[in-house]
Amino acid sequence: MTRFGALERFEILGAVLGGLWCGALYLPWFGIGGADGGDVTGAGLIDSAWLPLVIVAVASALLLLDALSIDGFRSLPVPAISTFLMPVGLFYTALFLLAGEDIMYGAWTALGLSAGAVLFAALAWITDRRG
Amino acid sequence: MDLQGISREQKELGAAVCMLLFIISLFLKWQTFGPISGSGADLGSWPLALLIALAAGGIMAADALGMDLPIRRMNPTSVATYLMSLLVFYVLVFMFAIDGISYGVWLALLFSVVGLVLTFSVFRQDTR
Repeated sequence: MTRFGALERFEILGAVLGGLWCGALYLPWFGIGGADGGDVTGAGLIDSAWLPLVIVAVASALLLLDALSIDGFRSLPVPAISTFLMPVGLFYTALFLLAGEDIMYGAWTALGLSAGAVLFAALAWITDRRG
Repeated sequence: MDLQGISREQKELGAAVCMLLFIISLFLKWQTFGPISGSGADLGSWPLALLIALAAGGIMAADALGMDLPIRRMNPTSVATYLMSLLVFYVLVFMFAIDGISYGVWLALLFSVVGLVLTFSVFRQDTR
C-alpha cells in the first residue's frame, strides 16, 4: 500500500475539501429570495457561479493529480498555483455571506470547506517550499 | 507597452491611484436595465471590495513612500498583487452575471487590471 508523505496528505485534503466546496454550491445557502420563493443555492445566486466553480475545481484537480504523482504535472509548481487559486472559493462564499440574509446551512458548510481547502493548499505550498 | 522605462515608485504610485479610481468606480453606474440603474455600491458585498482596494492601494503607496509596513514575513508587493487579483475576479463575477452592464463596470475592470499589471510588474522585479 502506498504511504503518502506530508505534502501528499495536505494536497489530498485540500483537493477533497475543494471538491466538496464545489458540491456545497448546490446546497441551500439562503432561505428567501428564490424565483419561486424557495431556497437559493450557492450556484443559483448569480449566473456567473460557474467561474469560481471552475477555478476551485481546477485547483483541486491539480492538487489531487500532483499528490498521485502524475508525471505531466512534475514541472508545474502545483501547490503554489493551487494556493493562489483556492481562496477564490472562500472569497465567493464571503461575498454572499456578508450580503445575504436568512443564511442557511449550505453557506456555512461552504465557508468551512473553502477555509479548510485554503488552509491545506497553503500547508502543501509551505511543505513544498521547505522541500 | 514597455513597463521597464517606468521606475518602481512610479509603478507603485500608479497602482495606488488605480485602486483609488477603482473605489470611485464602485459608486458609478454598473447596471442599466430599462428604467432601473444601479451602482457597484448597490451590491451587498461592496464594502469587502472597498476594503481590499484600500488595503492593496495602501500597501503600494506606503511601499513607494518608503514607509515600514507591519507585514515582516511577507513580501508586501505579493500581498498587493494577490489582493488586486481578487478585485479583478470580483468585477468579472458581476460582469458575467449582470444584464445591461454600464460604464462603471468597464471602468472598474480597467482600473483593477491596470493596477494588477503594475503591481505584478513590481512583484516580478522583487522576485528576480
